[in-house]
Amino acid sequence: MVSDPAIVLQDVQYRYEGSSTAVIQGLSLTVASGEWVAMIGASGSGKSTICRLINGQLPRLAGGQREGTVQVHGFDPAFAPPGELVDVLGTLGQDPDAELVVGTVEDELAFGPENLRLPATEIGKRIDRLTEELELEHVRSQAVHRLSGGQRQRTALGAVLAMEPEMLVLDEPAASLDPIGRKRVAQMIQRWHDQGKTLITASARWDELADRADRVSIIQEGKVLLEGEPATIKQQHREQLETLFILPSASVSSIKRSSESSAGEHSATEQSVGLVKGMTMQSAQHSIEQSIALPDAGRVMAVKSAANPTALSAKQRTAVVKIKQLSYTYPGAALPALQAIDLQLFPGEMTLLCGANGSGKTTLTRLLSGLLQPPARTIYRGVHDTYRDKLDRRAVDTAYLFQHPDHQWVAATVWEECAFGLRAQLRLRRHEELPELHSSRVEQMLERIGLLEQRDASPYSLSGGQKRLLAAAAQFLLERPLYILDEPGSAADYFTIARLLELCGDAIQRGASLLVVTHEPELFHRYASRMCTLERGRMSINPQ
Amino acid sequence: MDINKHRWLYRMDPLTKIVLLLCVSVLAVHIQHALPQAILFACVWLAILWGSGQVIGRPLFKLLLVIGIPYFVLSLLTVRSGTVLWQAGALQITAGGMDYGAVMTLRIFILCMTSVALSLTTDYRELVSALVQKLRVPYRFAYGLALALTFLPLLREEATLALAARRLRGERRGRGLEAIRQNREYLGSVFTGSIRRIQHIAGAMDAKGFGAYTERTFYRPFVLPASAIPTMITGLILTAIVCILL
Repeated sequence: MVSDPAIVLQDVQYRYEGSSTAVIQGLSLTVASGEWVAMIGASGSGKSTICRLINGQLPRLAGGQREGTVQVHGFDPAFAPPGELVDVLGTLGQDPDAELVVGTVEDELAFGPENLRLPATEIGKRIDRLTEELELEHVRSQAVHRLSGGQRQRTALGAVLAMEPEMLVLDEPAASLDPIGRKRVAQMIQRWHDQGKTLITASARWDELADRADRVSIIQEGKVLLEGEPATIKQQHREQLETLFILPSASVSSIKRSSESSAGEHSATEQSVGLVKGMTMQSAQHSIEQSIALPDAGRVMAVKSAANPTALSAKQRTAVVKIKQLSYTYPGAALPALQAIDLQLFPGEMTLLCGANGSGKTTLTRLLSGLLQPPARTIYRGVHDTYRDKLDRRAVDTAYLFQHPDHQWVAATVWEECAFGLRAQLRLRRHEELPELHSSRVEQMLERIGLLEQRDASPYSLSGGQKRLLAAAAQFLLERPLYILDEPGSAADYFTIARLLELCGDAIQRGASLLVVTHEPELFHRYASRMCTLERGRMSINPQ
Repeated sequence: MDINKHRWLYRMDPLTKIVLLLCVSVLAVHIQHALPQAILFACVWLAILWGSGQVIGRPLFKLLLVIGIPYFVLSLLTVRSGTVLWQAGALQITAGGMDYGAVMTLRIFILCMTSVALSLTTDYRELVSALVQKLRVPYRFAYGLALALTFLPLLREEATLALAARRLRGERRGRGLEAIRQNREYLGSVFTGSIRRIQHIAGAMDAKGFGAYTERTFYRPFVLPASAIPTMITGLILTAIVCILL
């Protein structure tokens, strides 16, 4: 199988425009024609940069300084004529929104083949096949900005596959997908690779794609640290992979695998719900006990006892939010996004919100946060009906973590971003300095999440995991009765997840209520009290 | 916005829309008196309202007023011709100044409104198809034009998101100098977000082979509706008649 090199990186160094330190430091990696290499590295290790060096966007579009040799199919992607590169290489970046060229699903899938001058009949055949394989038939004519995060990710993947390139570079191709979606995408990529095509996948954690690859390359600080056959690397270097936050401290991955295989046995209808429905709180609790190098057991016990509903006083049992028979239909939509939702969120507990892509999770969180106006008499804070509340009124009692951290940035530097909410709370003017007490809180928070040294950097310049931590830290610095976190652990390494869980634990101990949207409930069950599942806009609740 | 998609301005093909926009622009530039310009403005406004529903919303109208009223006042005070209607020292308002101010202000309103309506009611892929397949415009140029048209909705989307992010972090609407400072920072966020989005679109187009070849194919052929040519001819004839009469 292994033959001529398809991709060669030799002694590559790269530094971003305006940065004094190199992100990639002497990287050498060769990918043979027909080989599947899985690059795995914790947040900030340089995976996404390597992907962009291979597709030539760095330094061609984003500038910066590159040294060393990069060759794809014998030519340098940074200087290759676009036609030559696009005929052989397809790439998919980490953020699906950055991959879409504004249009409908069908437009997106047709765009690449149209540029390759394929006839309309051939384009039509590819669109039919891909919309079926990626389960996008029902949204084929919809504008991509109206789709759920997972649907957008599948559309972005479909748009690359529609060009049928010889090589693919996929950066976290399944990050926003539900477990069934992840499995399907993995199978699809496997089928594509089985045709003898070359593939590089990148991820922050050891995932199913890594197990399927011919070879894994563990990336740390812009260099290949370990390389080899997946099973061998996993077996011989487990401890090292744990310290790199690529593997959990015990076998959470095996638990995830067993969960996913059980999900694979569900009927088609059940599959649309997502695997989490079949998972009990006990099994999830067991998984988390064995999982990540997370906050110590004593701390977890303290948080759990605070979150235990029976241990709470009558006052504490007063719901932070009451949702009564909430139904919601987007303007112009034929079907409701949510139907007759009843839910109460209590202080000192974490509620997980799960469900397949497009099941209505983000719609529910947007209604709760005030980003969408809820219908009258459906969402109550105490006895107050929130349907006429403006966003700033909601912000007093609700913190909201966006699905994509880039949507959340309001300041130019990491420090200002973290301090923004505190400054707004204290009603400080621009020239007024943040009081020492609050300033030290910001400093401690940045130190805790490992971003103090990057205090003057732009939030946009951080890695995916660092962005998630900064976005969460900025919210958790503000003491609110309700925190809503929309997929906070997506594409994050275990360091990021551990820090996120610590922050969640602190908030629960303060008596806050947390609603966490996730496709990976096993990561959050350590502190969770309940799991709610949405299926086509209808909710079922799995109590402890 | 979907509830308005059945309206005629959304359904009209982009070529007809461009011809009608040119007709209205010619009329707005040709007319030199306040009354006919006001009638043209009213007709255009009603047509856009009827044809596109809520496209010309309050925020856009506010923006127009911010530009329009100062311009009107400036013209009123600087152009001196005809009967003097009011005088206080060096300041003077004349009938000619009032007429000129009204004509120019309404002209700005009409040109802005029609451009915004075209941008918001036109599917840019359809526009590209029409320009490339019917008018033989090079596809790189057609895409450039189409993406420029999509910039306004993009800016609006970014503005909504940036404001929501600030409000959700507890920022309240300031007053006086604080409001100016907030607006400056807010516009900075909108600008940064928009530039990033454009960079993303450029990167995604590049990765999908845009510009790799001098020609490209189209999955959906553009078909000019049977009503298009008669509508365009009617628009051109009416414009010519009005120009001759006024």
